[in-house]
Amino acid sequence: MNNHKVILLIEDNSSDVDLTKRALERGRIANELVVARDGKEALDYLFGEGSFAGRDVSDLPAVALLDLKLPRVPGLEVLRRVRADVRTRRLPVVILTSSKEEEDRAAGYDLGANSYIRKPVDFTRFAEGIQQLGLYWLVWNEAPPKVKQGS
Amino acid sequence: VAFSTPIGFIKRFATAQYAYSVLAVAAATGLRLALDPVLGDFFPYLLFVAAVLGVARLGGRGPALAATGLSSLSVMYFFLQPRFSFALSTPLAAVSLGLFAAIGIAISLIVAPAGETRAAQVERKDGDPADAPLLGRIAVIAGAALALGVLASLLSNGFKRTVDAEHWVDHTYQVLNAAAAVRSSLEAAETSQRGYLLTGSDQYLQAYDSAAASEGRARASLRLLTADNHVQQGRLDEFHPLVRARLNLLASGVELRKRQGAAAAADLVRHGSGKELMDRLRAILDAVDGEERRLLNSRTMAASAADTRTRWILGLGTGSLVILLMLAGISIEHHIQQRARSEKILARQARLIDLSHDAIITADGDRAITGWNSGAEEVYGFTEEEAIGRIMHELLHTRSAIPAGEMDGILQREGRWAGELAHTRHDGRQIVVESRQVLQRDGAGCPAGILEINRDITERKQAEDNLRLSEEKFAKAFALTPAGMAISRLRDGLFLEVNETWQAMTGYTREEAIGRTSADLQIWQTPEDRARGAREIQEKGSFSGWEETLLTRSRQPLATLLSGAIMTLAGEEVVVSAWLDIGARKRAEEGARRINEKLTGILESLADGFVACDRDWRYTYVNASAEKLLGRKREELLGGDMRALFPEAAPFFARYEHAIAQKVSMTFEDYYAPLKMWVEVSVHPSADGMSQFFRNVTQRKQAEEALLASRAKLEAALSSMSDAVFISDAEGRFVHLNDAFATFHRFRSKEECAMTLAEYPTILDVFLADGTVAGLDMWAVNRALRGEAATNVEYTLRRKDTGESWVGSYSFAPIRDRESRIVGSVVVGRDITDRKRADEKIRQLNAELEQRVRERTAELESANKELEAFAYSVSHDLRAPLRGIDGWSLALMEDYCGACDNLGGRGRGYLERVRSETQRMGRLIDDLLQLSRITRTHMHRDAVDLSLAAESIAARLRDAHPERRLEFAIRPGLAAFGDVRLLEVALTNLLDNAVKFTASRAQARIEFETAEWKGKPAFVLRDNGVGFDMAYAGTLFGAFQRLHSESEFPGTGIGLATVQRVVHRHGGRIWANAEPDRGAAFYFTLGPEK
Repeated sequence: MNNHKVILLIEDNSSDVDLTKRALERGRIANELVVARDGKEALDYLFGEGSFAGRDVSDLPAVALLDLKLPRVPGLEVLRRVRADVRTRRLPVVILTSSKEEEDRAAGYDLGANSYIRKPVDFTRFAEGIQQLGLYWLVWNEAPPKVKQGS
Repeated sequence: VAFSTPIGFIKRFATAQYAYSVLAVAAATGLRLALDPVLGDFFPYLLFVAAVLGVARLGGRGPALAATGLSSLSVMYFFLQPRFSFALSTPLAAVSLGLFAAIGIAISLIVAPAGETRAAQVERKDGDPADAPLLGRIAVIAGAALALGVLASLLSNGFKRTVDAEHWVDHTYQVLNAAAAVRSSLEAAETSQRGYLLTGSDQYLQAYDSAAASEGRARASLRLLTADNHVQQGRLDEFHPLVRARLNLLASGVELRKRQGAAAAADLVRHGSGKELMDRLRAILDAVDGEERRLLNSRTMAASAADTRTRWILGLGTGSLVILLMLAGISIEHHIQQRARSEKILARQARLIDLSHDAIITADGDRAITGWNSGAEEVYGFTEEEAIGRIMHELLHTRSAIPAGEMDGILQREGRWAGELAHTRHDGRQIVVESRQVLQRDGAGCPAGILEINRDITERKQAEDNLRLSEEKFAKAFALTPAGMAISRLRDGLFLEVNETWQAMTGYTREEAIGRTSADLQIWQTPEDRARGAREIQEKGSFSGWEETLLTRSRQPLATLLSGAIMTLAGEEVVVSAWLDIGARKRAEEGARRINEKLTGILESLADGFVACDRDWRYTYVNASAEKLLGRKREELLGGDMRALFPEAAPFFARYEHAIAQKVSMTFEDYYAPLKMWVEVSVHPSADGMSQFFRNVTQRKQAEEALLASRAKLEAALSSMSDAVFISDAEGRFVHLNDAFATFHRFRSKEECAMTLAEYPTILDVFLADGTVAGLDMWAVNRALRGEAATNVEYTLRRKDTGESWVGSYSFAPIRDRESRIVGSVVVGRDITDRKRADEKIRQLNAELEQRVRERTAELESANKELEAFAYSVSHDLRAPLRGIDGWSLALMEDYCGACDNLGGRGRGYLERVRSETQRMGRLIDDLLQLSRITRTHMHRDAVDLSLAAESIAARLRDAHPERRLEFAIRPGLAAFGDVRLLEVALTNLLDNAVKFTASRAQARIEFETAEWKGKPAFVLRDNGVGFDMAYAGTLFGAFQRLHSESEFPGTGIGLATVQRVVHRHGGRIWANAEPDRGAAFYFTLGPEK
């Protein structure tokens, strides 16, 4: 298990953040959960900028759970920039959103999302989903190789 | 003479072989001399026999015989006693020499048959049986020679022994005689002494002396003869003193008598020892005699034995010799016969050679002629005597295509050469011979001569040349003849050769034709034609002057005059055929005939009357129309004088005469009263009379009048038109314009109008619809004159003088004559200035309207955008708090309901209610979003297989409700034209509903098909569910409208609203038919009803 790897949750709704945390805990997923409250913060974290200056950016999260409707930088823009940067382009990104809009789904996949999950209202199902997600990305999925600096 | 050539040929090669004889004998002699110290006198012939054999083998019979002779001489001289002399010491030597000679001769005859040389034998090559038995024969002869040698040796030995034995017998006799002589001499001496003693006669004394002397001689002889016998010598030694003593006694007696007389002598005799001595002497002599007689006896026997043996050997030897000689004789006879036979063959061959007309010549290595047959005499005119010994090429002045050196080279290398040579005959005539030359080799394989067989082919060459020449001539003629020529094989009809003309005529190339038949090429129109032709040539051997229409390569008919004959070319019967294209002639004939026919046809078919007459105005030709026009039959008119026949036509005749006088053709119209018609006559005078065309133009005259009347009507009509109408000629001159023209162009009157187009640019400015100036070439008249036709072309016109401007709508077209040439134009112009103004007004209004629509649309679009943003927010933002409520409710339940029960069962119940309401809210939001999305999304219409869509939804529903027994009956192939996603949403909602409302049924049956509803086709989805009361059907498709309680059938009440929205967006209609508990049926159409 990628125990040392963090899970990056990009979500502005604190209720959702807490519920996600709760779901992960209940799923006995002990990895550190890093929460970015908006798109800018998420990008700062990933690229080691702003308040995250100096962070080792080669240490990618095991998976980033990305909400689409975010303050400052919208979720799809975050995804676009993640994919555009050599350092982060291999980062597994799971779009986790309430939106069921076809356009969002299409854009998410077009920009290279690894998965698209709609948050159900029913928390039981939501929790199940989060747990399966964690299990999948932390246990089953083989993490991408590190991008060598300068390459 | 006949034999001279082959025998001379053989002789030539044979003479050299005699050298072998000398060499071989010399070698044998040398070798034998060298071996002499070892062999001595022992049988000297052996090496010579070998020499003779060798020579016989190599050199043949003659040299072998020579070798035998030479060998005999050599042996006689060198090896027989006495040596180095030709004398023979013994008959034995003579016999052995004779034997040797006989053997040599036998070898010569047997081993070397018929004098053939080894070279000749080599020439005979393999397959000759002579060689194998020859070795046998050599073995036999060698054996015989050896046997004879042994025999001779034994014989010689035997003879020698016999002679020795006889010698010893003789010798013994001599001894005996000598002994007897001694005895008798002694006795004679004694007797004579006694006589003297008695008588004292000197007679006795003399006898006594002689006896004493002879005794001495006899005794010496005896001594000598018995020198080889020491026993006898011993006896003689003993005898000698005794004899001396006795003789001394006798001599003393004689002395006594002489000196003392007879008495003393007698006394001496009486008392003396004479008698005793004598006895002893006699005893010794007797012993000698006895010894000798014994020896004689044994020696006689030995001599007799040797003699007997020698006789045996001699007998046997003679017998063997006789047998050998007999065998040799038989063999010789056999070989003589063989030789005779081969000579006969040779003679026959020679005769054949002589019979041959070919020159058969042999030459030696230096090309000197050694053989010359009668053929050669005939070919070259030189006799054999003249030719033999001459150098071949000098005699015949040989010339050849290749250098002589090269020819010799080939001959040396390959052993033979063949080719053509040019020779000069004795009479100086040049001849060409076909020469075959074979190199002859001697025994050692070295070139020894040449056999040349030459055939005179001068005549053949001449014939060939002639043939070639004639062939060339033929070929040239064949190629150059202007007629088509073809050679084809008689037996199968294959073309062997065709010439250029033939190729040009038929269109086939030589390559295409050769090796094919005319049938292959389908030159004949039908196979029957060809078969007929083939039959004829087979029967008659030739044909000429056939007219046939054949077919060319491009299947064009080809009128051909065919001639041909059977010939023999290179042993093959061929048909040589000449093809003459008579198409041109035929065509010319045909053309003339056709022209004539056509002319007649034309004249006859003319609607105009046509007559021809001679100088005396007599009709020579009257066509059918003329008959009709004149109302007279041709027969009545022909030959008749027209002036007499038609006296009323005098005014016409006057004009004819005028035309004849002027020698010009002329045309005029006149009224011919007797027939009540206008006639147009065209008269053409010619050298032999004149011809006239005439037609009834009465109708035209009437038409012209009618036309004038109608023109007036037309003009009246035109002048009453409000549109300007003007007609121009090709040069733009106005030939007609109506009253409206003047008004249109702002002239005060029609008379004021300019009558040519060219004047108008000074009067008017003309602009195109886009406001640019229209050049004169763009004006309607000119466009029409260029062939353009158009309607409603707008021009804006402006008077240059007043500046007044107006808009004209023009229609124009060219006027064409019968040949379609443009001869003028028609232009119609209408003043549309007022209409244009009205149009402009309308356009402005429309533009304003459009602007307003655009603005409104933009507003709507922005509203729509807002709505979309709103919907998006709703979907996202409304759901988040719901999820929170649900989540935290669950958290509360999980964290607190299990541990403490202060909330208790009821509390849990409440929380579950909170959650279920929350989730209902979530569904409500989703459904509302879907409804709004249905409204918002763009439609992409396409062909949609509704059955397929329904099947896949049904499959999904079955999976979602595994506990239900769902029976879907979906008619396959239900097709619609619409947006597949929207239609799927609609079908999903309908099917969902159907499944939902059949939940109480043990077996749900849901059908999707088409049905007719009030005479119109519609899709229908039926179920056997709970149905509903039609009284409430009006609210069925409204949003949030439900006919069943939420607890009974949970739902948002938006599903059917969504379906209706989809159907409406497709321009269709949806309605339902149901009864409570009897199922429901939803009908819908897609697209407007017709």
